[in-house]
Amino acid sequence: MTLWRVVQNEWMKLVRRRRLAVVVALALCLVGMFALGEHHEKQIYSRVPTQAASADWKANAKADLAAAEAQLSLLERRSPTSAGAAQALAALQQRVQEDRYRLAHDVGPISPNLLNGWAETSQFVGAATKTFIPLLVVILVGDMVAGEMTQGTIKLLVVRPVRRRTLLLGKWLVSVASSAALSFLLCFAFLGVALAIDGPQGAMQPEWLNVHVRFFTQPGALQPTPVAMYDHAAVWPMWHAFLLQSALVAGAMMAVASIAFTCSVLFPSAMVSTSAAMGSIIIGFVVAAMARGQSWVRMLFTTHLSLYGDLAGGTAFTVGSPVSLAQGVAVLLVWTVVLLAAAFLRFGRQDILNA
Amino acid sequence: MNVLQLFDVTKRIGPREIVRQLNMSVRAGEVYGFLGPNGAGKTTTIRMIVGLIRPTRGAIQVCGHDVERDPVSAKRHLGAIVENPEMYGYLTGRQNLLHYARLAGLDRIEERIERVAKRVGLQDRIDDKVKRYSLGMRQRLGVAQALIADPKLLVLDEPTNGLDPAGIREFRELVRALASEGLAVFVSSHLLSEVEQMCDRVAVLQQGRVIAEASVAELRAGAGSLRLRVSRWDEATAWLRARGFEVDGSDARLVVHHLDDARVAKLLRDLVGAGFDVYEAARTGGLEQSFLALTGAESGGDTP
Ligand SMILES: Nc1ncnc2c1ncn2[C@@H]1O[C@H](COP(=O)(O)OP(=O)(O)O)[C@@H](O)[C@H]1O
Ligand SMILES: [Mg+2]
Repeated sequence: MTLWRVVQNEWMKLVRRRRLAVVVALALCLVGMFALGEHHEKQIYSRVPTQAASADWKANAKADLAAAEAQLSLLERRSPTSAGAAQALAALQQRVQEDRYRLAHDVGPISPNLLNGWAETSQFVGAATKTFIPLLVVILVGDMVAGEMTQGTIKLLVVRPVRRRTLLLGKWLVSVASSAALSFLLCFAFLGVALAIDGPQGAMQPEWLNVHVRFFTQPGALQPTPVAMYDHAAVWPMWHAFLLQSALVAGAMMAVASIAFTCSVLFPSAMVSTSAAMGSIIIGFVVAAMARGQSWVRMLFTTHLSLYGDLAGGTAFTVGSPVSLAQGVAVLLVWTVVLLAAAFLRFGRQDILNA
Repeated sequence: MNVLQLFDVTKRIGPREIVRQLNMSVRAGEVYGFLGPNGAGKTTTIRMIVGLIRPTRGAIQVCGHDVERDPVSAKRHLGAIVENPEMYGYLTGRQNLLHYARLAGLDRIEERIERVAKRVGLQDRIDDKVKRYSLGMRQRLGVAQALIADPKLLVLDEPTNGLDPAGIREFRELVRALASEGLAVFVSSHLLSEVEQMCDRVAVLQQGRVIAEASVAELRAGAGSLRLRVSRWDEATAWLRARGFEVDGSDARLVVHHLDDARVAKLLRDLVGAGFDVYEAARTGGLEQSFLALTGAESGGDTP
């Protein structure tokens, strides 16, 4: 099939370009920085006095569960109307869910002088997916078409008996596949580093997903107060949540790759197209930060680069209005489809005059 | 059947018509020269033939397939170099050829690569990175990629630019050999000598219009001059002028202008018949003068 041959070609070119070497070098720097940070943090933690792992955590958990459930039954009929009441309710719900999870899966808390490598990685990946990983993706695929325009190689490519849209589709598939692969590899490189430094404990520790954030307007307050609510929350083991997070990072980076790819079709110079893609990401963040709390900020693709944050509640806090994973996926999909449609329209009918 | 056919092709970019109402056809086994000074519109025409840009009006067919409506079928029979043959410098020559062969949907690719590499004399350097190739080697690789799919039509845009004289001669021989195997070759040039030596037919392009189309033999015969050394030159000059020949000459060497083959033959016969002795007779100018006369311009470059 023609498309498959285009994909083989594009892959061959991608892995032999100097850009890939640059990306790999930057990625290794990033992993190194994370390793240094973890090492430093581990030193600090090791100064915390060791506690004998309490063997009777189960008894404590059972007692805590009974107490929390009793308090909860008093509150639960009324939906909270103030931030304070909501926070109290949420804290109780979280306690109940944690105790139940620990007892059901026989998972005791980890000693306070040990770092949880899984949680550390998850936190770092959450930050990196909004900053560093998109930049790597843009460097990797921000000139997929523009590079060939600049080099002039597009001429001998378009002369072949292949439809232009097939060429473009092949290039796009390689762009998104390589970006997804890069994100996955990075996530697991971070995890490997964290587990090597911090130890493997923590895989089974609880992680809350599907956390809804409610905003309470307080009299006299300038901005509404966000409160994470646990009514519909699910508790997952961390290793499980991390797999989901990696997949979501890869998905978001495929959207970033598509945006960068479109830039590479719309701007015929490799430099301009890469800069335009980076610029649009940076501008997205700046605008989102300035317009925090406005509901339209949820329509920006930069808001949802951490899809896992959409699911675990973090995104709503930064954006200042409620979001959900479904919303995030929909926003990224719409951006991707609209921009790709523009790219295909443009490339399909464009006169290639200056290459 | 014509391998390449242009019907009334016009291309407008912005307010300017870069090429206007081109009608040309190239047959199998023929080397067709597309001669014009720089900026005449040769590259623009070639970009339309290979589907990089669309004609504003008119149509182009390759082996009977419309380039705009059925690009895949049309391009299946096409090999081309447009301006410089830019290739992927970070790939080897072999990887470049593999890349293009895949896009043509070919089978037994390795065999083909060996064959075309040998044909253009690159077999020893085919596994080097292209960024380490000399300009001449890049041109050869350009020809190799154009030939990889056994095309019926070869479109070459000023292919000898940057080649040394030996390279040009070799290239000319390759083009002639390909034509004798039945390929149609469409080759643009701003150099008259090149077209004269390589082509069977030629179209002369000036400011986007074809102002002449003829076989090279016709053009060569068309508007040449004849240098003569004869006895009694002053009498001979008067005698020739009386018969309507255009003669320059203030000494024993006369130059008679605007002669084709038939007129040259008749002139010599009559001159001898009239009792003049002819010591020397040489044709000059030929295509070069026709070209200059037709385009009214410098040919735009140095003859290598
Ligand atoms: N991208 C473009 N936009 C506008 N005019 C162009 C463009 N490219 C070429 N031209 C004009 O078209 C004319 C023909 O150019 P070209 O086909 O490259 O000539 P040639 O190959 O015969 O030297 C020139 O006058 C040039 O200025
Ligand atoms: Mg040109």
